[in-house]
Formats: sequence, C-alpha cells, structure tokens
Amino acid sequence: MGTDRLFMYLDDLAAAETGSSKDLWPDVRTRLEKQIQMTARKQRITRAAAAGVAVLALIIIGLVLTPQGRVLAGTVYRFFIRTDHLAPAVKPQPTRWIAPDLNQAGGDAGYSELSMNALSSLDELRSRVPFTVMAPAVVPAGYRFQGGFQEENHVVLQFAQEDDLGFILLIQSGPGGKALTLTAVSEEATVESLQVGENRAEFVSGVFIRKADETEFSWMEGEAVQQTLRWEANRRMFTLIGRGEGVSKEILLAFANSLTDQGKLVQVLPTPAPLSGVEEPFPLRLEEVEKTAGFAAVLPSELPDSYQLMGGAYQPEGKVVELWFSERPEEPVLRQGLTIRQVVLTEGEVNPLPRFVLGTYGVDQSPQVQGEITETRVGEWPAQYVVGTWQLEETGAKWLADPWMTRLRWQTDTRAFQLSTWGAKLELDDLLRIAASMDQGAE
Amino acid sequence: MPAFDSTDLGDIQQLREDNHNALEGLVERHQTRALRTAYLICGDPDEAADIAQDAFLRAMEKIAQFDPSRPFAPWFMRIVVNLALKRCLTQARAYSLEGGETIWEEILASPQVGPEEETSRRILRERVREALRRLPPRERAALVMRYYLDMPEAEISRELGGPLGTVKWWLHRAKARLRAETALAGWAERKGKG
Repeated sequence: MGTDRLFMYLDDLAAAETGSSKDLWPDVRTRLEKQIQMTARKQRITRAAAAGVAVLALIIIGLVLTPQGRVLAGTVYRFFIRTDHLAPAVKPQPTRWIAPDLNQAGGDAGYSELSMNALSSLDELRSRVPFTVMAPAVVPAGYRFQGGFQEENHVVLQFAQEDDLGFILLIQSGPGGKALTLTAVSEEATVESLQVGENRAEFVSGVFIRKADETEFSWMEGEAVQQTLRWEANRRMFTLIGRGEGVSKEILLAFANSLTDQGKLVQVLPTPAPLSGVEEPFPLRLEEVEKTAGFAAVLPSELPDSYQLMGGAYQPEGKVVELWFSERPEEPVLRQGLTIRQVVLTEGEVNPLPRFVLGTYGVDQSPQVQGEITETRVGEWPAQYVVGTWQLEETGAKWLADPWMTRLRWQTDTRAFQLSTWGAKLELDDLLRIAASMDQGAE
Repeated sequence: MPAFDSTDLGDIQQLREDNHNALEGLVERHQTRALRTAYLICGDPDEAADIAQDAFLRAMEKIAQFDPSRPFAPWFMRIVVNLALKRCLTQARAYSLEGGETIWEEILASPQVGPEEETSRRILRERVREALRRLPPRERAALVMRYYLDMPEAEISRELGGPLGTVKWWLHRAKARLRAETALAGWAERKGKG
C-alpha cells in the first residue's frame, strides 16, 4: 500500500466523519473569552491572597511579641487540638478506597499509568519481578490473555474480549505496594463487601468520567460502566477491573477465586461461535434442543466426575446440535468443560462440521496447513484428534498447541460428531472413552 | 498541508502582542487538518472538535515558545496529536462503534453517485475506521503522524517517547493491519460490482 493511498484513505475517513465546512472559531472565541475572564479573576484572587498573607504575618508578629498575644494564641491553639466528644465524628471509609485528585494525577483518571509498555508473556514477567505473579487458572469464555507488563511495583495482566469491546485487568502489587491511581474509586461509591478466598474483598460498579465539556472528573455509578473488585492478601493489593458487556460481579469473583501462582494461563480462544443467541450460547434444555432439531441427541454414558449437562443450542444452518457439559457446574460463568456437537447426515450432503485445519494465517501469507492431526478410531469409525486452538495475533492467526483445548471428530454412516474441550484437561484417551460411551446407533 | 504561510507569521506576531483576535486567522487556516488529525487519533468527531479547540487555545498560551523561523503547522499539529493522544488514553474508549452503520436511505437518495459506489466507499471507510480502532492509541498516533501529517520517523520517536525501532515496528504493524482491512474492503467492492 502506497503512502499516497494511505493518506487518501485516512483523509477520506476523517473528512466524512468531521465534515468539510466546520468552523471552530465561534467555539474557540467563546472559550477564549471565558479563559480571559478566569485569568483576570485569578489575578484578583492572587492579589487578595497576597494582601491577606501580609495582614496575617502582621498579626502573628503581634501575637508573638506581646504577652496578651501569646495568651490569645494559646487559647486558639487549645481550641483546635481539643479532644472532647464535641469533635465531629470521622466518617468511616472503606479500606484504601480513595478519591485522589485526578487532575493533579495527570488528568487522565490514571490510565496513563498503563503506559504503552510492550506486553510480555506470563513466564517473562514471572522471571523479571521479585514477587510471585498470580494468574487465573481459568479465563472466562470470550476473553484472551493479551500479555502483561510491570509498572513500578505492580504487574498488570490484560485480558480482552475477542471483539476488543471489553477487557479485564488484573493489577497486583508487590508486598506493601500502594494502589495505582487507576484503581481509585470515589468516597461516594457504593461498596459491596464480598469474599475472595479467605480475604474480605470490596466490589464497586462505577468509574470516574470526564465529559468533553467538563474540566473535572465526576463519579458515575451503574451497570455497563466499570466494575472493580479489590482485596488484600499477604500484604499485597489485588485489583480486578472489568469493562464491557458480559463483565459482571460473578465473572470477576470467579476469576479472582481461580488465581494461582502455579501453571499456565488457560487460553479459551477462540470462543466457540454461539449457535443461537449472543448472550447465552447454550440457552436451551435438552428436550428443547431435541424438539427444535427434530432428532434425539446422542449422549455419552461416561463422563469425568463433576461434569454436568448445562444446556444446549441448535444451529439451523447445518442443523447442528451442540451440548455443553461443564466441569465446574457451580461456576456457570466459566466456560470450562466439554462441548459435543452432532449432526444427522443425509445422503449426498456434506458434513457441516468443519474439518481440522492447523497452521498459520496472516496478512502477508496464505494459510499454511501444517501441524499434527492424529488419526485414530472411535469403535469401527475413523476419527481425528488435535490439540490446540487458533490464536489470534496482530497480523493474523496461528495454531497454538494448547493442551487445555483438544478436539476429537468422527463420522458414522448416519451422524458426525465433534467433542471439544475448553479449559479442561481431557486428552485423547479421555475423549475416546467418552466417544465410545455414546450410543452410535441412536437416531 | 499548509506548511508555511507568511500570514501565519503576522497573526503569530499579533498574538505575541496580546491581540487575541489574531487567533481567528490561525483557526481558519489550520482547523480542517487539526480536526481531522484529532479525529483519526481519538475516533470521535465531537471529541475531535473539542481537542482542536483546545489545541488552538494551548498554542496561543505557548506562542512565546514558538520559533518564528520555522513553519507553524508542524509545531501546532504536534500539540493536536499530544492532546488527542492524552484524551484518548483518558477516555479509554477510543473509537466508538456508533455511527458506523450504513444509512441505506441516504445512499439510495443520493443523486450524485450510484449506490454501489457509495456503498463501496462506506465499506472502505468502515474498514479503515475498524483498523484504526484496533490499534493501541500510541500506535494510532504514530500512524497518523507518519502517513497523514508526513512527519519523519525520528520526530515521531521524539514526540511519542519511544525508541526509533519501536516506532518503525508500530508503523509496520499499523500499515499491515490497514492493508489487510482495505484489501477485504476491496474484495467487497469487487464483489459488489459483480
């Protein structure tokens, strides 16, 4: 792409969005006049303050130099240091929740603290900082770990939604670390007490906002803004900040409760495309799915302990039924478990379940099919098994051999199946055992 | 780009003598580029107008620091970029998706261009907007400074406080992303024209 063309694209977009005949001068002039008035007022205040200081200095000299003055000064001093019951009660504030002077802090609500540092992997961060970097054992569905960075005595891990519209930040300090301005909430905030493990935590839904025509930040509460969960453990501050659709108190709590200093982050990208409905990918009960699909789903008679059927969905295009079995049914917001997709095959039609393609795909290259597909069998039927998932990157995507995401697909004369794990450690033998327990003859 | 205009110098001189009305001439000559630059970085037309206004006022305050032997536009545009970038980080919500939808009635009613051409153009704009939206603010600023304001990479590096190599990498990545997005738009265009 040539520089000229790039300029043209940018100019065309900006011109279309900002209009070609906008005259800024009337607004600039109005602001200019206000600014001049404020400057004049400031000068008057400064002069008045200077005069006041001079008078005060004279009074102090008088108080220090005369005996009557010293007595009066003592009385005034005692008044201010009194400790009787008439002193105004101090309003208790939640621990360390502060409303800093954001304008003094750089006028950017603390986001400048997230300077555009290069992001590092978890392993790199753990080798670099002198304290233990905690990471979630599971990541809510739809989020991917972007990377992390060190900011003074803090480590920040960034998780973004696939569409980049929402994010979760995990900010953790070293021992004795102070809170970042970014994590501040107003003293007026409604604080809900919760529990993260054995530690008391505080949850707030709100954010400091400065609108375009305002000079000061104001605190705004409510849903669809920013949600903050914060707690202290082992003299370290932990803060989870979530923004965007789908972020909720329950998600932040589940995220917080899964923090560990062991192992690796579980990547759950790409999220399985929701088969129906955007908000809840598996909204139907089994009977509803079967009724909609017009056939009885084949279910496994063997599943690992704790696995539970949570719901299902039906995809009219391709007539695919998908069932969701959670490994942690007590944490329904975590997409950790197994999906079973199945479709009844009609003679002459192509299997709508996508075949496995591994490799890399980028801006500057065609898809490179590579990687390892294990050929196996489910009973008498040929099957394929892969480990990993597609990982989205800046310039394309590549196959990531993530052991927490495995796939097994096979096809009988009448049906096609695919088992997919999401953040669950089920390997080939496990999947084969589950597959073998499915009644292949059911119709 | 209005790189050097002797009229600028006259207005600048008057501003230095506290004649604030001289700002009007500078606004008139530089507002379009300021507005568009701010928009490309912050992604919101109203916000961009506010940033551009701020930039003119800021330029007036700092006019004593301006070296009159050099052109005004680059000096001023650096102020615009810095304000836009700061605002962008402040809001932490750069590039709203609002306003991106196609207004079909408007396209169909437009007598000047055929709906296919206008649709293709809108798709392309949408892609460029999307590509910009996905860039981190500082990389977006680097892209705008290099390819929209034609600033040298070394100067971008100084302004954004990043090593030259990093700036080069940002630009490479940003360009690749734009290329990918606009290539898709080109495909849509070709497909639309059948």
